[in-house]
Amino acid sequence: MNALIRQDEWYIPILTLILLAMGLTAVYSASMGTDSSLFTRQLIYVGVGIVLFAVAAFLPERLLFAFTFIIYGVVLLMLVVVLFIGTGPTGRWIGVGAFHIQPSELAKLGIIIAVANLLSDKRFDLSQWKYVILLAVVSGLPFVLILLEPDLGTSLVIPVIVGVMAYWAGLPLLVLVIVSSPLAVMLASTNPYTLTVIIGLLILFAYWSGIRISLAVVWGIIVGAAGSLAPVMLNKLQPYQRARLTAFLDPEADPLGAGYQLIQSKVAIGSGRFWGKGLLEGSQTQGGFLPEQHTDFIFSVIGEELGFVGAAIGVILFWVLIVRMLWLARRVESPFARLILVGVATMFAFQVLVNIGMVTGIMPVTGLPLPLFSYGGSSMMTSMIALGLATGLASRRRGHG
Amino acid sequence: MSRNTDRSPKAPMGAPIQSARLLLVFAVLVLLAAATVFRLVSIQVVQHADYRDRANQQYTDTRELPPDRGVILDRRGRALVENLENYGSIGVRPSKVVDKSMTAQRLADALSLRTRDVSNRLKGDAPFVWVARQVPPDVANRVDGMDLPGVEVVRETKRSYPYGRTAGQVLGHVNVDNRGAAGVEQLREDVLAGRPGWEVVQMDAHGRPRYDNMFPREEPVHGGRVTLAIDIDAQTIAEEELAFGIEENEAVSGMVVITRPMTGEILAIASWPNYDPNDPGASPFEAQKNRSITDVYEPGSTFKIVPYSAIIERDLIDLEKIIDLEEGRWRVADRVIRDSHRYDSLTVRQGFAKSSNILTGKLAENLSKAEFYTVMRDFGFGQETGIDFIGEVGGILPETRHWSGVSQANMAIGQGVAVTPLQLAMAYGAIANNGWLLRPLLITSEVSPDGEVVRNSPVRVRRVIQPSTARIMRKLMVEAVEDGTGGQAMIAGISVAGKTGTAQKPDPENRGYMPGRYVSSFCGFLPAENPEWLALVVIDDPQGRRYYGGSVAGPVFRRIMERLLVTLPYNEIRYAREDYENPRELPVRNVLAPAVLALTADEAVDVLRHAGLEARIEGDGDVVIAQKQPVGTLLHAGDSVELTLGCAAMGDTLCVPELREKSLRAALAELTRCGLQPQVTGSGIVVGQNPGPGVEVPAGTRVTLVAQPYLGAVR
Repeated sequence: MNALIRQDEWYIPILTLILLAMGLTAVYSASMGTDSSLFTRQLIYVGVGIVLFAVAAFLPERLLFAFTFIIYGVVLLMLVVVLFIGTGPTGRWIGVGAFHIQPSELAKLGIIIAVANLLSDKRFDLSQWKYVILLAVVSGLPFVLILLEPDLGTSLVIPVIVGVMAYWAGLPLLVLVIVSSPLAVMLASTNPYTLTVIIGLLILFAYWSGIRISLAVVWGIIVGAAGSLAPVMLNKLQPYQRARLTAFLDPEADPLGAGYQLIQSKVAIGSGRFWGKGLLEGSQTQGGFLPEQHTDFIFSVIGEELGFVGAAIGVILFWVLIVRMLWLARRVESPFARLILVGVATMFAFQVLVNIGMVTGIMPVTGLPLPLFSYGGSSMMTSMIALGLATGLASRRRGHG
Repeated sequence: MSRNTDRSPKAPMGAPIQSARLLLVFAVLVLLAAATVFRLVSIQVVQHADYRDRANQQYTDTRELPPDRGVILDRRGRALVENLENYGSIGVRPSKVVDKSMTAQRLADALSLRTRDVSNRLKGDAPFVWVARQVPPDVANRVDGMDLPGVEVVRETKRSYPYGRTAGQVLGHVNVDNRGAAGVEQLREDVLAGRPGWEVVQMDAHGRPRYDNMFPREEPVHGGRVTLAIDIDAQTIAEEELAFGIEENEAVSGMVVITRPMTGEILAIASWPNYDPNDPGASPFEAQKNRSITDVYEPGSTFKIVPYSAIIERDLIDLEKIIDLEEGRWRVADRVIRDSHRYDSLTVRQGFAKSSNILTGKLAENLSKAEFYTVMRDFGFGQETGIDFIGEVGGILPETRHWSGVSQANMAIGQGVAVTPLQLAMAYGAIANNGWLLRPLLITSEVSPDGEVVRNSPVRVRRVIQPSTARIMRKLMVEAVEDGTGGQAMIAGISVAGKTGTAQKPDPENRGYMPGRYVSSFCGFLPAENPEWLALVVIDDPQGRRYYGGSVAGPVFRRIMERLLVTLPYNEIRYAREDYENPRELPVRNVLAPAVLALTADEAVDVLRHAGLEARIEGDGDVVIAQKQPVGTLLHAGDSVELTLGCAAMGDTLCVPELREKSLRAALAELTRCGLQPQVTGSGIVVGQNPGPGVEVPAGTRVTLVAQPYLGAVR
């Protein structure tokens, strides 16, 4: 083993600790309005998370690489098991004694490691369709399992992570666009404006990339089929999911029903104004207007009580963290480590974007937690392990020998 | 790059990352971050006002802060009403009730209602129903403690009347919303109600209030204060004696009015049956009426003061003239007027004491119709007294054009006219106070919720007779008591002036009168020459052995006055009803303190001894400068008057006497007598003086007096 010049990565742990502190503050405030034992439990989760962060940071890259598919296999197994013995209100948890784990959270990690492993192989040439399909199968399996739970929000993270990792690893943009376009069209099919914009962009992109007419026609048919399937799929959605989508499109249609959370969240954030109402002074938060505010809508506590200043600082810290990981990915020499950094960064970017978009009403209510902020053990474990891995892998970025 | 094969089993990616790809990823990320921040700006800064308003709207609630209802005081500042705290009204929101039958059952148990009644209330579509209003604190607490979903306990105060039925018809009562529904409560709703305040309460999503000092709050303006001329002791005495008199005479109803004839203040105004304002629903509506103000009756002989006053005022007939009484039957026009006791002849003077109908009728014939009508009007009959109260009637006084041949004689003896007891009392007051018809004074002062003070002074309506006439009338009335029909109203030690009345009750269906049905009354005042109190007693339809006013109402008058004499001038002895259950001696002779100020010690002792009183002397000096029991104080024979001696004129200086708590008139007289020069602010009772008592000043020094109208104690 060659000697390594260790260059410790401090940005990620420090940013992580700051974000954790903000998150704990928010959970504390939200728990004052409802159930104060939530804070105590979140404190325990954070403690466990810090331990897991440290373990992950000191985990040798080689060991991780070697265990890649064992991890992947375990994750798949858990996803299958949860379909049959899932507990909790939505059946997404597996109980192990006093511990309840949400496999879909851990699955994201498993996929990042597995895809990083695949893509770091020199022979894995993404200009060949067979590799693209192999990649699609490896990432598609957990995706489908999570979709079956059903957990639409978490399942959507997977194609995004895999797509960005593959793009980073050299997947032609054309292929990325072609592969992702049916999904994009399906998702956008509920909103005619978004749909028009996306189809317009796709046509422009097809024209600009100069693909063959025959391919373009096949592509068009597939996209069209996906688009027309969407309404059928929409009917297959769980009632609560459909309600969430409708609520997103027009929250005022049912202000006390499905649109309630969205409106309350916007009211909380909007009434916080520039400097906020002060910690524990948020009338919406303390009044318990937002159900389950400590989980997916935790950011509205920051928005109301710490105002625009607090919310913007939170967003910027997340983005510094994400950009830092990508910046490290540029420098790190091991392709495996590099891809894991990209995957973790993407996971964070997507979740932060979708969660804050949801809380501020520009994204549908998908049930994605805000990493490091939202109450919940599985999400905390996943985020902390991911950041620990990123820190550890980045710390060994200069090897020589 | 590929050197790390030992560490990384697979070969790394071949091509270096293209900077275009990186740029794209970074660009997208920065764009998305910017979009997120932009969205925050849009919600938190641009649209802030909208969201703030929505937040305020849903988390704040404006609650009313009810004011304390104002108090009603008697003339000595005793509260006649109370606001009991922590009563509760029980309301239900049926839609929020989880288990209707259980809720109905438990509420019914706690409130002592029938379960069926409660469950019926919960059945309707109404969003909110009251199940019980103003239940006592312990019951309200019990219901609160049950914590039943959908059941609300609204805390409120309950108006209570500590004296119960006493003065109930004056005070009135309030409805469940604490608004005046009768009596002074209704009359002075504007003064008593106050104005509610409000506070903004922060509500959480479950509708529970959270308080915050930062929220705007407007304190309620509490109700003001109304002070009555009523003395609750006098009112108690009046009501007790009236009830006893009615029981004693097996009568149906009755009325008593007690006034101070010099000021027109009403000390007591009672009618029986009465009601308890704490529970107005328990008595018929009729019992809530203050019938001394709202009902009329034919006064009978008590009305004779009117023709007598008119004759004396005009000096038409010598009081000693003997009048032939037609052997007890006097035919006038187509009717016959009779006397109840047959006399062949009486002097005019005797005719009043003996209450001769024929003589009085004949006297009235000496007046023209217009003259007689005018005198009756001047005495206040046929028009409202102007008392500040609800439901006053003006009585019936037919105009001359409706008069028949017998009308003048009939009206002279109190038939064919209808008066309210209050009117009659005010008319008698004119004789007592040397000729002035006063407006009855029930509310002496008011303090509005904003602190504005309104003092109601006595109001003279008009001069009815000259003082000389009044003096003669008082003499006639003393004779009527001491040597006439009113013998049972006599009180040992004090001269009583009064007149009896025994009126037949008019038949409501046919013309004429109902045989054997009378209204017996007595109206009088004392002391006869310087009247302090006037009382009218009306007993309606006595069914006992007696029916003459003198023997039915006279004793009631006497008992009222006897009790007033020992009770009212700040004497807290309250005679219990039992004192009258058994026959007893008349109370010790009552004496009014004479004026001994400015007399030498020997002279003062002399004067007091003549009055049957002792002197207790303090201080050095040759002149009485202070008298602890002022002129007119009611004392018992043998009591002591405490006197303070001081220096009177010593060379050119003299002592300023004690003038406080004297009437302004008495104070002025005394100062003038001492050779000091008064300077006056205000009127009524002296409340302050400068220089103070006992200070040595040169003769002719100016002494400043500050006086205030006597309105009873205003706290």
